[in-house]
Amino acid sequence: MLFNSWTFVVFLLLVFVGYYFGPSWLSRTATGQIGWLTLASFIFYGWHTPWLVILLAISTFVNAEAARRLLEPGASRARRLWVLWVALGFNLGALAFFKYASLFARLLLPTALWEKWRPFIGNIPLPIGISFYTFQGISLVMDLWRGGASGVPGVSFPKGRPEIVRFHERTWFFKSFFPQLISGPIVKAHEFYHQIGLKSLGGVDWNGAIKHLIAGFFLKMVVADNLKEATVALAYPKFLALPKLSLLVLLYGFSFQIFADFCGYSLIAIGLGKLFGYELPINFRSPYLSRSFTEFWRRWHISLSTWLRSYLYIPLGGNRHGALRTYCNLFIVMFLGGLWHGAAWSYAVWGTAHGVLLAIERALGVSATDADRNRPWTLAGLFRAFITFNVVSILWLLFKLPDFGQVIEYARCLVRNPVGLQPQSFFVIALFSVPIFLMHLHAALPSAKARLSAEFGERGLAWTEAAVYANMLLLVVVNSGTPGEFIYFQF
Amino acid sequence: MSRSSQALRILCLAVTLGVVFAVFVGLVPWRAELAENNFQANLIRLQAFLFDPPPRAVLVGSSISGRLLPSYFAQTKFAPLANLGLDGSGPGFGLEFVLKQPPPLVLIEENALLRPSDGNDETLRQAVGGLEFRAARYVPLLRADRRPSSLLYSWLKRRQDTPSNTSPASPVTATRSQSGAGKRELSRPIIEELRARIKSLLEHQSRIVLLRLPAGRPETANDNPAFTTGDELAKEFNLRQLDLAAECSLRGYALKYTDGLHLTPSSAREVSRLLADLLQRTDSTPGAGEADIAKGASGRQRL
Repeated sequence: MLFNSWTFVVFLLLVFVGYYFGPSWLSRTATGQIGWLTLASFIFYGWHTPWLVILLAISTFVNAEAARRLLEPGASRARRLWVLWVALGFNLGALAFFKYASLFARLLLPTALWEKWRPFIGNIPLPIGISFYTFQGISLVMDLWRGGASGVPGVSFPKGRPEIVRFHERTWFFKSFFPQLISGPIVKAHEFYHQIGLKSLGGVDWNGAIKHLIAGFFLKMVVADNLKEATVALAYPKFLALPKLSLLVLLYGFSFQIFADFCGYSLIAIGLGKLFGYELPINFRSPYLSRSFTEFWRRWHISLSTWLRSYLYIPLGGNRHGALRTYCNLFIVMFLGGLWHGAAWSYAVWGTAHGVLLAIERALGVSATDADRNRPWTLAGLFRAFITFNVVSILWLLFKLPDFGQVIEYARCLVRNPVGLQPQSFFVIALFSVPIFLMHLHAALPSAKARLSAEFGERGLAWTEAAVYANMLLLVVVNSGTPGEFIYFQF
Repeated sequence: MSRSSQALRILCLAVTLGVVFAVFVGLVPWRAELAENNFQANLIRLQAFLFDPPPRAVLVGSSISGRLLPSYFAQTKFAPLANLGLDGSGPGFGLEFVLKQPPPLVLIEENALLRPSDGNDETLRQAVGGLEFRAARYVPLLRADRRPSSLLYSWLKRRQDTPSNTSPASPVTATRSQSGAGKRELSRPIIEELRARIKSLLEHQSRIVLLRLPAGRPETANDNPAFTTGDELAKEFNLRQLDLAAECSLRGYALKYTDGLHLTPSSAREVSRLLADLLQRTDSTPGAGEADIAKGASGRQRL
């Protein structure tokens, strides 16, 4: 079910009304509310392909059972380790089978055998959202393996049947909560479990929910969906006849589109979470303001980069075993992070390229912390941000053209095609990139907000902010683009 | 600030802005005839045909005829004329909608007569069946010709009427790629469908004229098998054909194209004027006069 569909609007209304205004056994008890949201999440997930709920249910059940066994007070380390490996094997196996079987079979099987198995392997469907909920499952077992019950606040070993049922109920809810089920943000167990409980309508953060929902729908329906109409020309063989400047403009257009599309989804997810009383982690912090690639990964798809850091980079040794090992770890993490996006070598190349850039920056002593976001802007900083944005945008080409040969063809066209610009696509990209530019400008000048506040007072600032959001909402109604799926659904 | 005060402020302001915008677009006569993308441009044309007062004539075809904007016919007796020259589609698809409310005069573009239905048609069909499209009939604010970005694009496009390429190129289009008898054979189901739709339109007393439009370079039936089909249909149903490409060439019009296939606004205006002129002359022949068209129009209004 798409967030930007009428079906979803009706679904959301029904779920919301049931959640807060349903019969008392449903809306006045934590069990009722959690059960209701879990049921709604499974309906949401299986709306177009009902059999998918079986896969989600199996994945959830296995992870919940593994989590319960990891919590067992008297369990030996060996037994816990065995449980961890089984759970990881199951999660990664499911991902490998559904997502990478075709890629690896083509690579590893002899040609004759590959041709024989191709009809089967080539037709294995890719369940939507599998990369996201599998990673959540891994985060649950890893958090419990590392810290036991204290690794996931809000969790304790369930004793007796009623507690086991309650534990399963909460784990099923954590894995399936519909706002973040299909495209994240990837919620870690330690960020979510302690929030699970009875919620009341009075506790809803309406301001946050409405602002996130409006900004999310605006980015998706007005910015991304309109940009999509222009960037559709950045496909093979359409781009072959385009002049140089158009090719460049389309590349930047796609860079803005992928940001608006994915950031839009994440904001909607956060807003929906707030409607039901849950806080989901922030996923983007104006990534195109990054002054280095290290900073970029602290601002882009934050829930994935923190997941990779916590559950892959650090277990691999992080930066604790010398420079060479650190570079290797960065390389491995980014290679796998790239491959996480899709079963094509171009994604791996994309991830590896980012890994190499991160390693180079580390060698040059470039570092970034969250506090760096508030550093004042200098000319050198602007230049670095310009370079980072351009390189990141060029690398997005591997997302738009997953066939590597087409990327090379694009580069050739950039050299040999005549200089020129198609006014129609330029108009679309220039116009619908303005909101992205303004968003980043707003984030780049945190002092401006304080100055405005001093000038107009808190009340004036609140009205200004309200006017901005009201305009965005109006544009969602009157200026949306062609409705389409979210880009990150394919991952 | 309470946890809902800002949300309320935003929603109240949004409603106010919506009302102001609705009143504003209701008062000013600005309407977008063009859009910044094909999908919205097609919605503008479809909504104008389906929601505006019934037109006296409709032009059905591909993006080639899409350039002959309704406003170019405003001063002719064929106004209001609706344009269903849909970007990325062919006349067969446009005729689906024309059959829902057949006007007295139907102009069918021959150039893309054999264009098969594809994903573009399906997307449009879904959009027309969607809630937003149907709501736009009653809530003008939701109409594609009121989209702020389309209004801006339309305005800029009208201001800038200079061709980017005056020499015809060799575009790759579905129309041209359909050359050859083999391809024509493959188009048999399309031809059958066209035949059925033309028959149905004639039963509704619509007058049909087949048009060959200038599209970059002189074309013959050998270049474009759609023309052979046009000839066959004209003969079978006794339809009038107008070869505007040949007429323009005879009159020495120096037509210009934006991309080697689509007319620039100034050339499209010229061709529209010529079309209106030729149609008017056709009307003056017995049995196909203005009276017929007017009668048809009033008949439709009664419906």
